[in-house]
Amino acid sequence: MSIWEKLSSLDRRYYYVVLILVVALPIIKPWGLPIRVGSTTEDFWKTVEAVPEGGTIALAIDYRSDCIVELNPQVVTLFRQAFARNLKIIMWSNVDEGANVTEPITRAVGNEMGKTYGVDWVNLGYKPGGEVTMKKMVDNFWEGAAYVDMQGTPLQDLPIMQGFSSLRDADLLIDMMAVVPSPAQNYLKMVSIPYGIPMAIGTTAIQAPTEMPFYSSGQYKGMLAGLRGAAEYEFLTRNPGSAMMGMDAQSAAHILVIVLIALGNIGHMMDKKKRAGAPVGGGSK
Amino acid sequence: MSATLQIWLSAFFTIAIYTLVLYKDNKVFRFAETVMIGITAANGIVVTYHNYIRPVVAVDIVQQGKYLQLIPILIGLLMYTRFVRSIAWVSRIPMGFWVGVGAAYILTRNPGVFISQITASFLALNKLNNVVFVVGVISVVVYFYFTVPIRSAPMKGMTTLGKAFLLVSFGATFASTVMSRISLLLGRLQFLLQDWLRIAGV
Amino acid sequence: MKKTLPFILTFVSALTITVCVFFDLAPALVEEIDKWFILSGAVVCCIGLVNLTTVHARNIKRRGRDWDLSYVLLFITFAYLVLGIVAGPTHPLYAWIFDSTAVPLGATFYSVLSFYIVSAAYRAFRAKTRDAAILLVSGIIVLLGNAPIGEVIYPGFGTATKWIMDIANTAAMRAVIFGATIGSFITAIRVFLGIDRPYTAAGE
Repeated sequence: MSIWEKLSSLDRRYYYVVLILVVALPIIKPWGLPIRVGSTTEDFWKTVEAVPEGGTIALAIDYRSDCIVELNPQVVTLFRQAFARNLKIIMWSNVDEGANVTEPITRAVGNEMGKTYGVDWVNLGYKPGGEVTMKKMVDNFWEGAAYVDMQGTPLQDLPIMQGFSSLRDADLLIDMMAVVPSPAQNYLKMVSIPYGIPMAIGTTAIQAPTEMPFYSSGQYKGMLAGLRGAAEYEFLTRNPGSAMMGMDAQSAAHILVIVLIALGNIGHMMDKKKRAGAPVGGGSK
Repeated sequence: MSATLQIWLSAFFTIAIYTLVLYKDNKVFRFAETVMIGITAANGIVVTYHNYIRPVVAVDIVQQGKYLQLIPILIGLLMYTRFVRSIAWVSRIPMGFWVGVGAAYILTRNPGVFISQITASFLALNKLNNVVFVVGVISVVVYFYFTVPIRSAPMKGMTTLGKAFLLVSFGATFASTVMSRISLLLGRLQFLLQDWLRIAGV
Repeated sequence: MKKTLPFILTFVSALTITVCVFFDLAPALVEEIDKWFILSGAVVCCIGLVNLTTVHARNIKRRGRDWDLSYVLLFITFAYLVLGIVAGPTHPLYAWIFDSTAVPLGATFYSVLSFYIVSAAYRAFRAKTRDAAILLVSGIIVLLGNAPIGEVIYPGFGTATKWIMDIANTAAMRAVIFGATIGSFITAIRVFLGIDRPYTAAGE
């Protein structure tokens, strides 16, 4: 049996163990590879920097616990950048788990930076209804938000909500999303384009290619794409976190995948050559 | 509640899921799967009730007396008739309403996005990248033209070019998918090594 | 009546919103219809629970596969539901249970796919045809360009990745968006006119 045949018939659990080792080792002993910031991340950062001091960011959370690795660092870094400039953040979720998964991390950042819940930021919780709720939040934000925050506190008791009656009152709309169909495209069509509200997004690496046309056309002012986008954002804002730390392991895993693809193709070619060279009906060899 | 207990529980569930790939389908994995289904099913209802239904009923109906809001509640409740075979057809009523509203917003709102994308495709052909981009968009549109058979050589050339652009795009999507999935594994290993075993730096 | 009544609702709601939005008429009416849409949809939140309960109760009764886990599922679901309804989603115990179970489970479940990608990388990702070769080459360039090590090996990978994403991918995806938008537009018109009635399967 050739080495290629042996590799092909190897129990795939060996591949899984190799993957775990390849990803784990750089986590234990980081390499410190440099990170180059891409234009989509830089534009996202600039868009937040352009919000006037004391302005308000409307933040829609559209992801569940399966995407916290890629998107939680984006949210945390956004909070840090916004709070450093005394921006306010009004956040809610259009998916059921969104508010739950972001509540602990946003509260931790808020407390760490000396910000007050209800004054500097608020988490309104889950608001069902999809694109119709998005439109509702432009017509009458309090109605769209069902009059309460995630804890059930009436909006009139929250200082941050005073004077905020429509999404048009936001200086910037950001959607952190990882579900299909794309809620960011729904925000574009229901909120951003008809009412001229500037918009930026954070998303997973999987969805970044499908969202690129909207960034390219200028409809998204900036875009954070996956863990790499989060790492670039952390690097830009000088807030190193889990995303930057994960880039070395990401690199190692990518090299492993490429090596396996290359080995698989070489093995396939060798196998093809061998079969082409073999005499018909078997041979003496 | 104890942070340590939470870390150990999270580690248990993480390893329980990985027993599926590293060992085989087993009761521990199926137990973890069961917990996940139960918790997420209940959570969906809890957050919908507390963050939307209860406050809307309290403010709109009870405080402000907008009793017309009872009608959509009844419409929504009609969906539950699908579990009773003799009156299951009644569940078509709320679906008809939702489909109508959805269709209306597609008709009134989608053109805005569509037209913006078309105008963004009309780039000045003074740079090579712009020329490649416009040719790419047109060739992929031609590739998806299935109404009549494409017989002429130039059109066949365009469809081949369109297919090439699509393949490059799918390659990028494949790479992005690999990156995203690896990130998820990376996140769990970061948790296990940093938070649980504490053998990696935080 | 079984097919006509839903279609009447579809037609009336679609016509009302379309005319009012296009001609900027009766915004209050449109806002009310929006409210009805959201509230009626929210009320359906328990439909999954009813289905889950029916299926697993039947499994327990028939002593089907993993009927013991069906007991566990129903217990966990209803216990957590009662806790949540009574105490609220921000109660410390509720949040603690969510963070200890749903969050690690949700994050871990999808990470399992990474293992399958790696085993498929050796066994299945073959450049057997020219088309597959284009796809693989593009994929490998983007894989290297998206990881910091790619730019350390050769800075051109970053530039090539940017070109692929900004030019080739965006051009292809934009054309796909054109097709999908036209398709959705036509489907909406067909639904509006009653040619397509996606809800007719319900209740059969």
